[in-house]
Amino acid sequence: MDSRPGEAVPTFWNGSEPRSEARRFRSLVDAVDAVVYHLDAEGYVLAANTALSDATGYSKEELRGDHISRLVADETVERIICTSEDGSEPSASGEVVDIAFTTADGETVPFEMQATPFVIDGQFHGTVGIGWQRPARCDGASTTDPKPPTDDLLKVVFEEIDSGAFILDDELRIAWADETVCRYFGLDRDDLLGRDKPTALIETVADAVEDDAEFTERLLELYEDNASSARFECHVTARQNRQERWLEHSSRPIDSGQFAGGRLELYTETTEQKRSNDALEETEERFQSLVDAVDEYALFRLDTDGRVISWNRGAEKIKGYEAADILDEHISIFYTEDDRAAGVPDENLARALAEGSFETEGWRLREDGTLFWANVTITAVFDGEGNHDGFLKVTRDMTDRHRREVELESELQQMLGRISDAFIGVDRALRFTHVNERAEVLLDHTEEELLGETLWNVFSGTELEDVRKAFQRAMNDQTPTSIEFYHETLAIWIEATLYPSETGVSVYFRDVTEQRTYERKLEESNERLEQFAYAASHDLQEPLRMVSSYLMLIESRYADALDEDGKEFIEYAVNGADRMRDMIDGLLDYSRVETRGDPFEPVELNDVLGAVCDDLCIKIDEQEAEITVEDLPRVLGDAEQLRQLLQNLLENAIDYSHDDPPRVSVTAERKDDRWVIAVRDEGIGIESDDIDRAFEVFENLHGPDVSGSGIGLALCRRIVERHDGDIWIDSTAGEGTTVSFTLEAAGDPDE
Amino acid sequence: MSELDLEDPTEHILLVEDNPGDIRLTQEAFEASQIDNTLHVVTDGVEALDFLHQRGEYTDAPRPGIVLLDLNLPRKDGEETLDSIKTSSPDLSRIPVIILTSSRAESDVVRSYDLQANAYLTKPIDAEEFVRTVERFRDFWLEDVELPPNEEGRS
Repeated sequence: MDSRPGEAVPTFWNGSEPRSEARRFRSLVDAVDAVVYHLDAEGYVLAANTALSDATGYSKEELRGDHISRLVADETVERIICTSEDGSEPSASGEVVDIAFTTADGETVPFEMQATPFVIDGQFHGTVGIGWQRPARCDGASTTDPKPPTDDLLKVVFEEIDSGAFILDDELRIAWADETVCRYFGLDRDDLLGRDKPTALIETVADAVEDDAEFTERLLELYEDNASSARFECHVTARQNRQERWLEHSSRPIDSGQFAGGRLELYTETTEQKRSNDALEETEERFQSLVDAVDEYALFRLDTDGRVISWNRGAEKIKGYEAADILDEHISIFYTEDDRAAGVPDENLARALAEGSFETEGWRLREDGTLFWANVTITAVFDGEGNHDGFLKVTRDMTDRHRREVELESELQQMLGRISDAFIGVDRALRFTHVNERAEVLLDHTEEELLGETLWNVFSGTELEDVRKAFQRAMNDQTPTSIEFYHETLAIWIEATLYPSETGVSVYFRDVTEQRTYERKLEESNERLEQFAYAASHDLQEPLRMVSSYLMLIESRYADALDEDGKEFIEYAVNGADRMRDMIDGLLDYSRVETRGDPFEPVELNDVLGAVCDDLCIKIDEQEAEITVEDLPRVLGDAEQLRQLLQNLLENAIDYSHDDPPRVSVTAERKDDRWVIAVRDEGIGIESDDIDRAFEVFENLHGPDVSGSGIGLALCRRIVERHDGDIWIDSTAGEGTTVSFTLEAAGDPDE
Repeated sequence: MSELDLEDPTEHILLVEDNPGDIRLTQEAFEASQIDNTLHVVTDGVEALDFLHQRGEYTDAPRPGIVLLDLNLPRKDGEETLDSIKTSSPDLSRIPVIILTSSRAESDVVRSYDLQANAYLTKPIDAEEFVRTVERFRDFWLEDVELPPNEEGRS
């Protein structure tokens, strides 16, 4: 670099000022990082500091005297030379401009320079330039570099808000990218500035987004159309230099100001909302599967009419219906017939709607028709606007608890009863330890008299042997025992319950003389009745025999002497006698059911029915009767009486048929520990009004033409009653009759 | 006096029955069954024993080979009479006594056999049935069965 010959410019730098101050200042200028130089009014370098020298690779001496244009491109020269003292030229107005110095090696180094007019005592002395090196760009520098926002406030705003922002210039280069957007996308700001956005988008920015292809496409479209975008979501994936985020993109063209023609792109974080939305969805899903997983409670929704619109595992378990079968059914399907007839289902729904929520307990029907005791809560559900939206129903199967409650209640009743009982306590040696008031009365002794005495000293008598044994047994087995006995001395019947313990026995007892006498009287009465019935029928037989036998003799011996009328008269008489005989036979059987009955034992009904059919085989053949029999079970009973029972019913079934050959069926059905046997015929049936009378003795419902002693059903009922069963008739006049009765199952392990 | 008749011990049959209707029926039944053995009739237990012991008004009575005894008798009822017959001397006690009665009561049956009745027949209400019973009686007791020979003389 040559200096201009002859020109000795008095400069600040040459040291015309007091040395020490100048030297100090010179050192200061040299010390700063910034490049500092002084240009004259034409732009020749008057002085330069070490930094400039270092940056450009020229020595200070070389730099001095050279025109600044040697270092920078021609176009930029204007910008860094002040040409007037007030800096009014726009080209060098004190703004920071981007330039590039060409170094001694021919390389370019980017700088930000600020040119200010140098004025001393009102005199313009050229330009002072101060600047800093700009970090290098990776791609080729463009000649006109985009400018960052100059408004500091805007800058602050952008830096402070959560949105990431890109400002693109009119050539879609990234004029500016704020700290936030760089953080969001995990990008280096320096890499971005000045780059062509579309390219940057494809090469780096889009990588951060999960659906990068879609993201890229959308943005490129926007750039092409230069349109305002609707907001759309991008999912930024997590990497080493960035977190997973959800961002909302919005962008629009910039119409005015520094960046007119460019675009503003904003990315607002929505991760929290997204997460809470997702969380809400997940919560709902988890809630649904929780509801479903609950299998101890039936939890389901109803629509406003009360139809089932959801179902859970608990509902399936408790009520027995599968979801597909129950959806859209009305809840009244769960209620018993009685409840339905009384309108209970709709009533419950109405109450739930009126009160918000309604709890009740009652019997409900399962799918298989069985009943269970349910605890039910119905809650009315409303939508966001307060409109009725349906119901929520929660049902619990409380059958066990209900049964226990019922048991407890009866136990309670028993206990209460016991309070009015007499009570004594004895120790292991059977000495009185406690005597309550009632006991004092019954035993006719005061407590003082009894305490300490043994039971047997006070009450002796051989008839108490059973009682003594009962006490022994109770104490040995340590189980409660009940006994009933007659106490001679006190002249009362006593029913006592012994509760043994480690220390003795507690005895609750009461005077049951009245009951016993009543029962005894009843038994005696029954016996006398039976005896009477027996005697009556027995004694009636003899005269009957006379009538019957002699009529027959007349019939056989004097047939010829009799005209038609005569024969008819005799026939009526014989018929009458026959019927009387049947009645008497029936009465005898009836009266002997209790007294002549055998003790119960297991009976194979199949065998019994076989014997009956054998006995009736003539009748069966004559009438061409068809008897259909199911496999019959083993029951507990008196075989002979069961034979009478079945014979009667079968005979009835055959006799009371239409003119068609009788069709009879015998079936058996299990109900808990009983069997229900049914004898069904398709005969003339019984009028519903008459069914009640059918079981009465001698009630003949079909008139004298149809045979029958009139005692069959009465006898059947007596036999079934002796077997502790029930008997009933279902019949439709003209269609047939079914007589059903129950017997105790014989406790076969296979059944 | 009875004649010694070793060929047919049942030539004489004694019926002990108080009901004239039943007596007649039995007679008719015998006729219908073509039983021509002689049927003697007494109407109560005392007379029956007199007949069997051949005393009182029955000193000339023949010894019956079979006795048909009703239980329902006046003065001395059937069971007493039966007991009396079966506990007398061998020549009387060995005579088969068939209870012929209207009672079906189990207790009567048991008691009769306890007292050594040889058989127990219930009188059917049906007359035809009664004839058939008598026919069977005839077949069994009068034709098939071997009866002890009738001895003459007093017991």
